[in-house]
Amino acid sequence: MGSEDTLVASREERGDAATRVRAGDFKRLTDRELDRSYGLACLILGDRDDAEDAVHDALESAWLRWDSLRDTERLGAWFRRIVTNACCDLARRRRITPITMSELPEQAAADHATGVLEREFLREALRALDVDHRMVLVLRYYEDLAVDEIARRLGERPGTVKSRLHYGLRTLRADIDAAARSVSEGDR
Amino acid sequence: MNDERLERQLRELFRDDAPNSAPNSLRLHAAELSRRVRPIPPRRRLSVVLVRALAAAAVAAAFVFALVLTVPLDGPREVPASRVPASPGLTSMSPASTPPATASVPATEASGWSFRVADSPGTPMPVRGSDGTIYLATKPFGARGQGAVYALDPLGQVRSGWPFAPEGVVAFGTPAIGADGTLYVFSTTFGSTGSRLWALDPSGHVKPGWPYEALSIMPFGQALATPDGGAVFVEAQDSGTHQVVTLTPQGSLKAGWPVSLPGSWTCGEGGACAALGNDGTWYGLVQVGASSDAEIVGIRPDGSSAPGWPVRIAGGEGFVLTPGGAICAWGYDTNGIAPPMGITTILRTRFLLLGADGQPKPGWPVTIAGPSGIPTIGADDTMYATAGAAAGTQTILALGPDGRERAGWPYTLPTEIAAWPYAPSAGAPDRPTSPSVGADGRVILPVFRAPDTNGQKGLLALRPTGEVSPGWPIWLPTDTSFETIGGYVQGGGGALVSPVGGQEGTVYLAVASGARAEILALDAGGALKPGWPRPVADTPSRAVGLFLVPDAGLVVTVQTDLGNATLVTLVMTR
Repeated sequence: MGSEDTLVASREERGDAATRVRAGDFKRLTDRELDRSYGLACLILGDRDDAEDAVHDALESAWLRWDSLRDTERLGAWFRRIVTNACCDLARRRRITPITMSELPEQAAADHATGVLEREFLREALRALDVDHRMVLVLRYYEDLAVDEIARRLGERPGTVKSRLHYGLRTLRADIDAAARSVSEGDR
Repeated sequence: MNDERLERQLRELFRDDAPNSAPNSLRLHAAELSRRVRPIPPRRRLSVVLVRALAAAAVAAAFVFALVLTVPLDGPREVPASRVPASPGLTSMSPASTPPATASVPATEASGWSFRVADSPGTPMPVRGSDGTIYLATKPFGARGQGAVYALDPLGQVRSGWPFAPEGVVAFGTPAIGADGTLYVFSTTFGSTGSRLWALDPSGHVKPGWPYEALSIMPFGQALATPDGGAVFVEAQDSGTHQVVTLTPQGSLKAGWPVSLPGSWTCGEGGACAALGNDGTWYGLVQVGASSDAEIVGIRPDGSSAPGWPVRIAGGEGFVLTPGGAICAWGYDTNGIAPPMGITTILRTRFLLLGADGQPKPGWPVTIAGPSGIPTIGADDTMYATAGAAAGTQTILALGPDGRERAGWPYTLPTEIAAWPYAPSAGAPDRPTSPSVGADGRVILPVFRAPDTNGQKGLLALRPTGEVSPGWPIWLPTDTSFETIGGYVQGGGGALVSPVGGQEGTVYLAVASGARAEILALDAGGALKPGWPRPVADTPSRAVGLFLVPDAGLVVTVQTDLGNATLVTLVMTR
């Protein structure tokens, strides 16, 4: 075997090894992060099919951008950022119609003596929020990120994130109070 | 409820509602990706495309792929700083700083041309000026992207003074063109919560007094050019409400504006976000409170509410402005069930034709059983729509402005043929595609052999009098499927699969044959015209849109996948 052939073979071997390492790393990422990321997308988008689409896109994106990952310790945050961006992109491409209070299931109204109804109200109020506000609430109370971390993830100013958190909580509170009032008036 | 309790409940709700595991389809996809050979770097992939295109040009002189590359395909995110003007946004790029063409094949109007640019998923809509210039605004993927607006002459060359690419702009919206040729286009800058509306003259210069700083990031749609030379658009306020803003030609707020909307502005299905009536009245669709109803709002050019408006539309879904200046709105009665509780079914579709006074025209509303798609309005204000679910009887309606069926209509589809279905979003119920209307008045409908949508696809053409055109329907080979037009719908109707009909009865259709996207041209008798089909992409595409330009040819937009971005190709062909 000539030296040129040897060189070619060794290059191919090096390429194969790099591919294997890359595939192994990617598998570790998906084993570790897929469930949590899918949960995150479900909460942001409020729809499992949409969440599946967003995570599907995020996986494609992560695979293509793998070389831009500098710190494997930050792999989880890096991937969830891609997922968050994919959710943003999907939500903006689709018109998401908020589910309205009037569509609350009948059985929920019968349960209002317990905390079940309040939780239903909260769930519906969340779904009625626009995706920008719901997203910061999910990142704050599900991902447990601080305002600055949310701002970095979304590419927004901390002031904007604070304002969305404030507005989101205020809207939720108002919607829940209004729904509770309407149920108690209906009972009278 | 106090803050602390609300926050605690949010944490508990999120914890309980988030699914514990991802579906198997995602795991399988991840495994498939990790087995995939490392992707060819985009730069190399481009060269492959280039070589193929050059070969194609040599072999098929009738259809030249002139690849004019405006940004490197490994991405719009990496446009060098030297390519953007030093004064952000205040001047357009000089010809010297125009991104160099990496390859160019001499093109003539007879042979056609193509133009390629990397872009984000989501289809950019090309718009055409009265002088034949085609404008394309891009929104590259990611925070470091550099958006640009391109102006292409009838030969597909970037005009002198273009592209317009102010530093830091990551995305442009779809442009609108004023009567004087002024281009109005929104831009977004990374990290900003607002957006800018630019007014550019045909040479690519920013007009004095512009840009205007809008409150929110590119509200759904585009600005509309007003008849008196300004622009009108909607912006979101911090409170989550929307207001309509009208600007003078000098870029200042017009007296009487902004006007707050009574609810949340929404883009109707099919992208009918807003429209300007013949008298300059602005119309928009607004979601009303907690109901599924919508209102169409009418605001006069002086900012006052147009008499007779708003008009409430039960289950309102969208509206289109007809050539005669009426508003055609439609809404659905559903079974009231929404996912995840169950499957939404459209029980009835209600069409309503409204005059400029907000009053329903005599003979309207017209209610039909089952779903119907976005109506197509003919040049004489005839409303065409396909009615009924694919599983049942389907008819093509042709309703005159008096709400009555045109003579010879409706046409009932044979049971073995069904209209191609589409859904505006995942989980939404299917609607049958409405027909397109060709320049010769023929009505063209994409169909499939019922009941399986995976079965053979074809096209049906009807004469304006409601009979099937001789030679039709035509059926595609079994391994050929429709190309879809993705996230937008052509002005005037059609949805997702959209054939277009030219003056001499020629019908153009985008199809996917294997990995190739091709355009078919069929003559009035349904036969393939000589020289066709013509390939427009040799890799699987995301979307193909067709735009017939009178006296110029056919503009085809092709999106192919670049992973986290798409490659958009404009092809002009005769």
